[in-house]
Amino acid sequence: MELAILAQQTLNGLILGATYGLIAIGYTMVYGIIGMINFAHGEIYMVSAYVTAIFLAVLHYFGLANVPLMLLAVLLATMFVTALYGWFLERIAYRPLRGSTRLAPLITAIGLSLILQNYVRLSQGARSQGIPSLLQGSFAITLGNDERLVQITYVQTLIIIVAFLSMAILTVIMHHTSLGRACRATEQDRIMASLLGIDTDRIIATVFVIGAAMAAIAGVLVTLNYGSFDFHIGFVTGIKAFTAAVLGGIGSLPGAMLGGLVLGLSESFFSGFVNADYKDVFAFSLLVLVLIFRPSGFLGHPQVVKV
Amino acid sequence: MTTLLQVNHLNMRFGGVVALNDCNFQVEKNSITALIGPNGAGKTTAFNCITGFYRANQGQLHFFPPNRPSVNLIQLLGQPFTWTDPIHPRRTLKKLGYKLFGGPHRIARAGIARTFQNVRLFKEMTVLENLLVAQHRQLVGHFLSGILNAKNFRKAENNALDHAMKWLAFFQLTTEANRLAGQLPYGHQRRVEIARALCTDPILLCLDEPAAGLNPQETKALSQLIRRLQKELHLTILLIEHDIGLVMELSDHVIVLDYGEVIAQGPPAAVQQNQKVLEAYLG
Amino acid sequence: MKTFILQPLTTATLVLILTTPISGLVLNGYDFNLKWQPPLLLALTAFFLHLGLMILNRRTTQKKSASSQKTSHHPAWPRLATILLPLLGLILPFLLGKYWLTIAILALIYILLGLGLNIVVGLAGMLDLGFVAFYAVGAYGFALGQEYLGLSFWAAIPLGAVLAATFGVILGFPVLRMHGDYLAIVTLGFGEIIRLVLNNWITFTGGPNGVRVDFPTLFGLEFSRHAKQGGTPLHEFLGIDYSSNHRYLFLYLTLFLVVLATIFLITRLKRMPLGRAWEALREDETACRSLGINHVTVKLSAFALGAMTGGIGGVFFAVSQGFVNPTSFTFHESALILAIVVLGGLGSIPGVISAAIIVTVLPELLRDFSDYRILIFGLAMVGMMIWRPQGLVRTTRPVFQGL
Repeated sequence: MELAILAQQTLNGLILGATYGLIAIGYTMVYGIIGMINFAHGEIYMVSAYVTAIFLAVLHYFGLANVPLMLLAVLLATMFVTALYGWFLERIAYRPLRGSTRLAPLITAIGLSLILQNYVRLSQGARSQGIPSLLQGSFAITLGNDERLVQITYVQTLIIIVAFLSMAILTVIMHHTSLGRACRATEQDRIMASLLGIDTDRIIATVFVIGAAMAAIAGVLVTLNYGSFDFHIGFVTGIKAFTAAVLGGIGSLPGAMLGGLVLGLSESFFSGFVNADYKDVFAFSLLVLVLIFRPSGFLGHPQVVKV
Repeated sequence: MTTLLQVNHLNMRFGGVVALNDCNFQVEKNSITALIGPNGAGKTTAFNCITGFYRANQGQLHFFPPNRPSVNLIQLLGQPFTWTDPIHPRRTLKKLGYKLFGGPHRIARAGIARTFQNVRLFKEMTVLENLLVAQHRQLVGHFLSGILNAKNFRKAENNALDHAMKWLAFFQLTTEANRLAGQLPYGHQRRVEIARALCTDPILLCLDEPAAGLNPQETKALSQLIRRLQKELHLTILLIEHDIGLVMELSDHVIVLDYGEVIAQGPPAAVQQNQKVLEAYLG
Repeated sequence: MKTFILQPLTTATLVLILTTPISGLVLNGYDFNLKWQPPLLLALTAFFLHLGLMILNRRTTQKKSASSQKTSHHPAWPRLATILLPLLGLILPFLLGKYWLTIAILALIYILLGLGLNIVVGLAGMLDLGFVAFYAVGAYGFALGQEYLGLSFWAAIPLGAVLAATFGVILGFPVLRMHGDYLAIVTLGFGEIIRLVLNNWITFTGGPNGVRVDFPTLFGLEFSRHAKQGGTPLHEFLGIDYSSNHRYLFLYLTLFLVVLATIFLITRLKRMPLGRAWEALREDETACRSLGINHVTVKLSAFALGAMTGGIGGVFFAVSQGFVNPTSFTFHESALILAIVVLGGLGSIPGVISAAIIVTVLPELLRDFSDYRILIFGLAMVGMMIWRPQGLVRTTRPVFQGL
């Protein structure tokens, strides 16, 4: 096995894993706080890809040419709009059903993911869309005395930096601010938290917003990297990000990032060295196996069912 | 007096928290035994270990039903595999069987029924259906005759209905039979839950705070019913209760838990005088 | 009064911000076109929806004290309907043309699938998002069985059922002991695995091109104009004129009988210990276990029976289409079947039947809306769960009398 290929696959895996990790944060935080899977989260990611392209086009129309400024503006604007989608999702699919059966919010979330998918399809058309490549060029790294080079494009570098930076910022927010404290308190015991004067409804909404914003970062980065997307992408990426969340231990924030990286790397190696056609099958099988044999994941706590 | 349930060296930890620490006690046949203690003393944990909803970290739980072989309750839950397993293939296979098909339901089948602190009825089903579900084991065999609605199915179903109605009459709930369980007043729900547990024909009935949320009249009526269960139907009852008055009036044997340890046990009068118990409750 | 304007206005503004990028700025290559109507329309809708809901809410809170709770013990489906409706179903195909006959067959398939998923989701309360996997197992099981083993249609119905049930058990056994939501995601993953394998294993399944399926024969009589393998075509045997409708008529009637049998089976099961145990598990798993019910085997039975129904549906689908390929078994199909179950009211048989008919026939009637089909189903699912979680037709509880 050539070292260069190995290194290249590792790099691809890291990039893939970083985006899975970002999306997985949304799943894991929502699960932590309300104990439910947010099925429409993948579609939130899909929406963010469209929003990215639209804002790029709008900025281009207004003649903004400074690439770094443009990227920053697009990132912030996309995060804002996507976060709003996340907030709306919670407001429509989850809040009215608090205290109803377990099944009901899951079904509304699936309904909403169908709505989002088709809303985007009907508004933007079914064909795949794209953005122009903004950052061209790459670093080349030579490994030892090997002739072949490992290519890291600027976009890939950007992905790794932004992904890890945003994860770090989120960790700081969750551990060192009053908002983070309120989130963690609500996660521990919602009734107690509300008795202590925490507006738990607002905290739950905030968690959806944060999750959506993280998915938006992933959406911007992936769109920059691949350049094309369609209204279907939310589905498969959503399941994979969920797999990452489960792999790391659902409910655990570092777990989501770790799970993302592990999934990204293993998927990249699988498609590089075994079979690229079956890489989705591999990811889904991993999901099924993890859920069966270690549902608490790497960093999660085994559940104690209260009787 | 013969022992019905023997609890030896029971230990239960949740992460770093020790919920039960070397608990030893026994439940005599045809007695009313009460498990009391301050909040967080480990009463419900002990209950959950006995009824199989938690797997104890250490210790033995033995159940001695009359005229039947004794049951190792912990084994029924499925134990983890150990490195010595390959030497005893038969034991390992048995273990595997328990791992695959074991669980609290096996304990219920062995003859231990329970109720829950926060009533757990099938809310969207009628009271009668609740009681019929409890007789699932006696009925589920008639599959084909059930599909065809054949005679022996109808007979079994009618027997189950009679059985259910008998318990409803015992708890004065006959008029509620066809109402949705979730729509009943709270006091009735508690009684339905006990009736449902009794429909499984248990030997040992475990009641988790049966009087919680009941008014004084309801509590009094309940205590009379529990007494009748013991006297007329020769059931053994293990109960957790906060209402000390009820415990003192009702029970034959009291076990006091504090911080996961048994600090005293004996007849109610003796326990009431116990210095440790007074300290636990007052200080 | 002020809040009555202000709150909906806030909602409308939010909707405007929310929808402007997606529906207002439409990508056109690397450029975009501005469309101002859709976001404004959506915002306006949101405004009036919110206003309407607020007025409605105020009304109901005022009324609430009057009508506290209604007991739901009345026979919802009179006996007459249970005799008349099947008769109607039997007569119906003779009145329909070929086009509507195929739609009726599709409706029946969806009824079957809806009934199967209803066992799993409605009765046993397990959210199965990969139901299409069992549908695919049935369809491909028959198609591939015919291609490689010469399996006949009549043998395929029970075999497809057994095969799908086996898949259900293999998947279900490890998964059913886990937490409820995980089941949803595992079944979702499983459904995708099946589809991807069918799509990628080209040497065995033909990949995206699919597999051709021959039309079955009835006691050796063929449904074609001229017999192919020296047999007798049905129309010659009966001495009637050839009509291409015959084969659809035959398929409809066979399927109709299967659906009737399934309805009978489920109605019986609902009144039997097993069916009660399913519903009890849906209500409270812990309580069930305390009553000696093994939740894994009971859930497994629901899962396997649901899978079986799905498998049979798949066999009929393969025959009615004449060929199968992986695009028929996407997640959308699972979502559609779920929509049928949800719209019909979880657990209700008449509800599932009506919902399946609505879901298949309505898009045919409203051709212009076919683009909006899934969007509308999604909206209906959300609306249903929020305002009428018990579905179009409320399930009734059995009442035991004369005790």
